[in-house]
Amino acid sequence: MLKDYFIRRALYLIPVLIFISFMSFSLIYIAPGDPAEIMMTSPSGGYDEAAVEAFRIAHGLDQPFYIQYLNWFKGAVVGNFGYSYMSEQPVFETVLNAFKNTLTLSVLALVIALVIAIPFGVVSALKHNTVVDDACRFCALFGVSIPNFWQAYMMIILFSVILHWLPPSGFGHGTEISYMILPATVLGTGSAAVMMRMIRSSMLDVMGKEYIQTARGKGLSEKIVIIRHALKNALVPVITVIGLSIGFLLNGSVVVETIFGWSGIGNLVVDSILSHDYMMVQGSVLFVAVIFLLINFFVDLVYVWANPEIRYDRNS
Amino acid sequence: MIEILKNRQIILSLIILGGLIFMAVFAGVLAPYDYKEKDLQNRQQPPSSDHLFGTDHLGRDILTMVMYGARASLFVGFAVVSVSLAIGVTLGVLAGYYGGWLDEIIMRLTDSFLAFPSMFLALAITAFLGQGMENMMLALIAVEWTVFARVARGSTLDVKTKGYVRASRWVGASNSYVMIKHVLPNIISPVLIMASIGIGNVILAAAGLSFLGFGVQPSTPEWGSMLNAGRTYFSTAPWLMFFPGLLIMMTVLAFNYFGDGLRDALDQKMKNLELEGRF
Repeated sequence: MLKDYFIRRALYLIPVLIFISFMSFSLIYIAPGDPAEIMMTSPSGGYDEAAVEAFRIAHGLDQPFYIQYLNWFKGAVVGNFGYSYMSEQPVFETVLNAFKNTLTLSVLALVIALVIAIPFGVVSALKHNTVVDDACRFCALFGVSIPNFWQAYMMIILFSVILHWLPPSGFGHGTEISYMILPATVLGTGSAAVMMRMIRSSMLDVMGKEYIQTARGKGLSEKIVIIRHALKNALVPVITVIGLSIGFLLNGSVVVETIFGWSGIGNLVVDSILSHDYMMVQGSVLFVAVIFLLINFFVDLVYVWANPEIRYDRNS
Repeated sequence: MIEILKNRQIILSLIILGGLIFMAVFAGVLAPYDYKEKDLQNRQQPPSSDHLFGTDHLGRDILTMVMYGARASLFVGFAVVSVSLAIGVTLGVLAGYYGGWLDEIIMRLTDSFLAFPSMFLALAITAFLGQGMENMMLALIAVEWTVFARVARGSTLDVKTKGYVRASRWVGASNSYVMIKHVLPNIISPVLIMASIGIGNVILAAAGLSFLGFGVQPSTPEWGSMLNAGRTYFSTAPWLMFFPGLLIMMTVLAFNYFGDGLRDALDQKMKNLELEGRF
């Protein structure tokens, strides 16, 4: 039963994967202008016809659309996303390296988010319908409403310009925590707001369940009931929120990495767009979409596996 | 309806939203200066009694620009959500009502759009179409319609099993009659909640794209592009970024607060339902 469900879900992925590869590839064709001409145009405005033709042939742009797509798709399946128009480096390697840096930042952001969201979510649920709950819920709404680019600059002004505690931006070797604190905090506070609301509603749900009454009836202290029984069960749906947060963190990475000069995938996409490196944009967008799709797929499976009573198709 | 107006949260957010819309519509009358007026003698002046929010790098009054900026941001929010709602609800109701292969196709299409983290999809589409407000709006619609398709489909599946819908079909009502007369009125609550939260999210995303330089261009006053222009001077003239950002936050917060209040007021069943936006 469970196995059938998993197989069915995995089969659903196939048309979606094909479609997103097609969408990523087609992006280049909605662009006005010929990429070869744009790439070969000198800063003064002119271009050499022969150089443009050579570029077209080198990047397969002289072939019909569907041939180009099929070639690209065949490569993409085995991890070959073509070569950058700018640096001539393989797209896949560049994207993978950038993604590792995004991952480092995201993990730190996720930790920050959980540290904020769990206590506030639990308190909000326990003090259900009181001033404390209202205040927590308002803070969460506040958290999702702050523009991350604005928050980033306000934090840079406070912690770098005024207090001189942290560097305003930079990447270092990609391992120094001092460069990560500000961007991770900006990313983390936003996700914390989303998570807090989820933990609150899930905790409210669990607190009404019979086994909580039973645990209380056994004479266990309220603290043990909350931590051992309620929180443990309430955190199961939170797995799905981690999936949601990954989306939130990836979206945030575009702006936050650009501001802080962090060499991650968000920064890579923005830079590639600005330099008309279409191969890199296609590759990065497809890579991010596949990763995001797979994470959500696994999160779904874990959720269904952890909740034996919910064996429904989550699309319906 | 009266129930809704008794809710303090809804009243408060409606007052704030009303004020913002009023400010946007009457910016020409309310604003202390002309937003195009450059005063190169008074560049980057900190907030003072002449310029409450200070002046920018060209000597333009920030308060005036923020007021005009509300026009662009609110217009983008309402327009993108209206179009997305129309597309999403149509596809969602059709998918939920007819089921079968139509449902499969529409839902796999929705899944495909949802597979892209929204900011990457919007950024890629805007970038390839070319910078500018119209292209940015198209990109945001491409992202936002999925929210409405999913909500509408889910609610339609729910309504379809109700006795009165089955009775109506049994006595020979046509499919389109049932969809318009029975399904639509019953799915309106969740759609309205998502629309309110959606406007906030779209305004935020649009400001982000303009901030990165891909959306509204600096010649039009818009909050995101004002932040973009202020970036260069953030350490010497922080007010260039502070006030537009504050307005974005207030606006988005008001839409979210309204959506949240609407959820509480419209339906007790939806109280614990977490409807999440796309951005």
